[in-house]
Amino acid sequence: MFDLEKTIKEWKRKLRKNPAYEDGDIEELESHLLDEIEHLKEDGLSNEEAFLKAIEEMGELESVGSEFYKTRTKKNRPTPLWQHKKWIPILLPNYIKIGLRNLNHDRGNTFINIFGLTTALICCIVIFTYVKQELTFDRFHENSDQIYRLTFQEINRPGARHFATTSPPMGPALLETYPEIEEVVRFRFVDSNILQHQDQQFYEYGVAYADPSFLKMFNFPLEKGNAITALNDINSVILTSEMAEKYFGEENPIGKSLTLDNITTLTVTGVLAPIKQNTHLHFDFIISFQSFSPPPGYPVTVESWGWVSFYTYVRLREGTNPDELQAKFKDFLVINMGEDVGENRILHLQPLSEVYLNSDLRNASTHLLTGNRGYIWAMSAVAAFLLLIACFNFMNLSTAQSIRRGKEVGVRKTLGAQRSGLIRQFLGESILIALLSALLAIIFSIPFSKFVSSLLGMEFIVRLEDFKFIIPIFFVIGLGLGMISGLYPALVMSAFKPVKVLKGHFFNKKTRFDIRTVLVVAQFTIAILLIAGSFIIRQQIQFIQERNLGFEQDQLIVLHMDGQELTRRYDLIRQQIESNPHVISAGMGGGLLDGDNGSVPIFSRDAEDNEGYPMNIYGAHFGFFETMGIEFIQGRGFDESYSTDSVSGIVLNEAAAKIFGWENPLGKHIQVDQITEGQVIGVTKNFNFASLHREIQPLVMFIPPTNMENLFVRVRAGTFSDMLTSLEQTWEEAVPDFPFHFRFLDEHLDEMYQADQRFFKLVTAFTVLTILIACLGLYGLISHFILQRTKEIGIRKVLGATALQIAFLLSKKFILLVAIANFIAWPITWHLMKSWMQNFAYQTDTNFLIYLLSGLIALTVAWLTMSYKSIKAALINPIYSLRNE
Amino acid sequence: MYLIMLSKELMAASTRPLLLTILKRGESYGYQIIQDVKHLSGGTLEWSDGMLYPVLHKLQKDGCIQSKWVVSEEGRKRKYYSITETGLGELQAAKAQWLSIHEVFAKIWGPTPQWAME
Repeated sequence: MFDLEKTIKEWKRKLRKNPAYEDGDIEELESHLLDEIEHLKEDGLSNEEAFLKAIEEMGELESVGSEFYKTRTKKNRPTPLWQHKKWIPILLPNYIKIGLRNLNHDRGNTFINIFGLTTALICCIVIFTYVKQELTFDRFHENSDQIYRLTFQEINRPGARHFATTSPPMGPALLETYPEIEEVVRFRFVDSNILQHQDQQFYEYGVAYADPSFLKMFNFPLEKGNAITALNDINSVILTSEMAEKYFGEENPIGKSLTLDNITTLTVTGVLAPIKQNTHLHFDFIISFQSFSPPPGYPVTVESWGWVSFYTYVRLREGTNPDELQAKFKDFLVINMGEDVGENRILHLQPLSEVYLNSDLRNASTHLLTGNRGYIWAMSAVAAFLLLIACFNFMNLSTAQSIRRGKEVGVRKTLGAQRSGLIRQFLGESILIALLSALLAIIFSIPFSKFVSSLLGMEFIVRLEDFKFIIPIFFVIGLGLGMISGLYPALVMSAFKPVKVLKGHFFNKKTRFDIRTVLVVAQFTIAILLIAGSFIIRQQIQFIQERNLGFEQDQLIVLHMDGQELTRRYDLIRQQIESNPHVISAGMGGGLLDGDNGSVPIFSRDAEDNEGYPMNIYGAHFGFFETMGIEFIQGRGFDESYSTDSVSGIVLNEAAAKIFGWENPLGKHIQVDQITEGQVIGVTKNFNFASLHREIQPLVMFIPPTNMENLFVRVRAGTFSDMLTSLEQTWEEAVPDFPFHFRFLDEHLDEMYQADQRFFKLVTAFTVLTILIACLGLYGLISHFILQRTKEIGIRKVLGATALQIAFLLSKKFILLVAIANFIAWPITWHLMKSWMQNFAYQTDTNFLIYLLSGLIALTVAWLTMSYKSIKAALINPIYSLRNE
Repeated sequence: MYLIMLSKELMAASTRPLLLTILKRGESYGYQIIQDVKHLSGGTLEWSDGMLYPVLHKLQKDGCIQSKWVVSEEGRKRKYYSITETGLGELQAAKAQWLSIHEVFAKIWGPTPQWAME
């Protein structure tokens, strides 16, 4: 039997479940329903029929409810809060609300987490840009995968070398022999030149000669001029847009002339568009190759097969297998250079993309830019370390936080939450934070990279166009980070037993193993590793800079004069310079002792075999050894009073003498390839004429028939500016038509270690960041730790513990962890640093004290971080800590 | 009489002035108002009964009408609504608007457009 009253009650109960209806609403609707039913019954319907009809007339309860809700909210919300959209999982809004509430409530932790992650991610972006930049050198050329550089390797002999250069006839001959080769470009760099336009005169260090096909093979578009013909004619030159502005300002440089070394007139045939991409080819001027002739006195021509000084690039036809082609080169060498060369040399094709990062080849970095694969690895490792530390912070703090979240978990579980749902919730929260940090990092990476670049003097500014890589990658990284760092806390928290948690018991106190412990140890291991690493790198760089090079590098000025002038008028110029009261002595030399030496086979009739050893050669003149303060073991240096010295005097260094195995080398015969021959007049102690990355090589010195362009001047210590003014005056009297160009030798030599310096700066910067993030984490951790033990602290104080004792008690455990981290970090650092040191032929002794010191620093910093919190906790009046519930 | 179903938008726009007009004649309660609307419109305006109440509540919230609970002689509780000064104002404004629109349509859709008479 249909019971109207009961049915209506049932209907009302259903309405009450819908939060849109409030009591008054329901009663109003009920009154309406009753009226309607009454009315319908008058029409002769039964109770049941009338009820059903009235309900139908009333409309769908859900949507009517929505209308009720709408009248009540201020905002124009399309659907009420509880009516979740189909694509949003149930409870998601609640999770977000609770999540945000938590972030807001625990601002300290939120700050540490987001700050740490963001910082780490910013560093990652910057490092990522740097690495990407280093790895994508020279990729912008069309067909860059078909372009190769020829490298020339010696085999089967002691001191065999691998050159990044080949001889000038090699390229054209290859082009003629092999149809697989489509184009060849030769490059010849010149140390320095004076260029002049009207009254503007500068020393230039970026002058190169190149074949006409240069503009065809490489994508350096011309802003002005015709790319096809620009380098065809003799004495034509193209210049970069910066140089065009430097010499010609607003004028159009095309067709204008530049004077090279006061002799040759060059005609400008092209201006390059600004080069924005990264390329190892570093130049300011390109002169047509036809204009190139060997410097005076060089016993070679551009047809000399033995003159291995030319960078040669080839472009292969599409589909050519470089290995197959390279295999054919042996016959080529035999035909063109003879059986002996064919057997003992290998001509390689080095892919263009590998050129930049291969700095080991001889001549590879004298005029071209090179990178360092090791540093790329190191920077990537640092980025990974930083991320790891930030992640560990995240995991640590989230687990520590779980104490407060415990109640929430308990309530949720009681109300029927599944563990999987809770895991999803907590994972979601950490992913949210990670993504937020990724977003912040992306926003801040541009200004930060600018700051870092200017700080370190390095070019790795994050550009907007990089974001098309960075955004998707960092979205994925953010997601992954959130997952990884959130998983452990999520698993821990979701496993809480509601009964225990709601009573206030969280962890089983008996479990000694605590992943937080492991994470803190790992963090500080990394921090100590980096601290010790940066100390050692610093020590090594200092060691290199302060090392006795075998000559006195202080108070040594190098005056440079291009062309033949200095050599021709050496005696006079030297006399005049030495007459300056600030000058102690002066002597002419070839290179700047920076490793940019020639190297030729050295023969001797007096040697056991007369096969010829490849040795470095160096041109020096009267007064050079005295000025440099190079010591002799035997014999003497070049001296005006011996008439034969300038023709046949040979000075060896110790290493060279050792190769020949002579007990008394004086008077022994030496033939320097086809350049000169003579007798040994002296043996110097080994001095460094190249970077300390390499061991001192055998060196043969003589007064060369070629030009020397550097005058080494030893000056008295005193006021720098007085000395320079006075020296410039003397210079102008002596050689009025040459600009006064000087540099300090020690500064120039330091440039060889610039890459190391930068590496040091970078490592230091990131070390500081690492420590900062690690300490922030520690700070957060100890805060929670103290919170957990507030009562204990109060009771201890009441029972008479001093603040100091309590502070010690609180930080004891963490100090112990940092100490443990030391023991893990030391051997790893030792091992890593040992392999880094392999970069240097001369290595500093690493003292164990350095390790101890870095450990101590980590300990101190950690202790200071904690002591603020723990002392504060220890000083609190127990009344408050005990009353607090 | 044939049925014209009004579009949702037009319904929404016209309900408020309609309710105000009914209430202007004197206070009334939900069920009665719905009966009035049905009667007056001859079935042109069809909505589910429940939908009326949110509109009434909205009107009340906006201050156009006020309400009170009254217990009838048979002991049935009913919520009576009556129009306020604000409501009268709104009704007047709405009326002016609707009439002006009506006039326009009447003019252009009328049997003998005025411009044809000249």
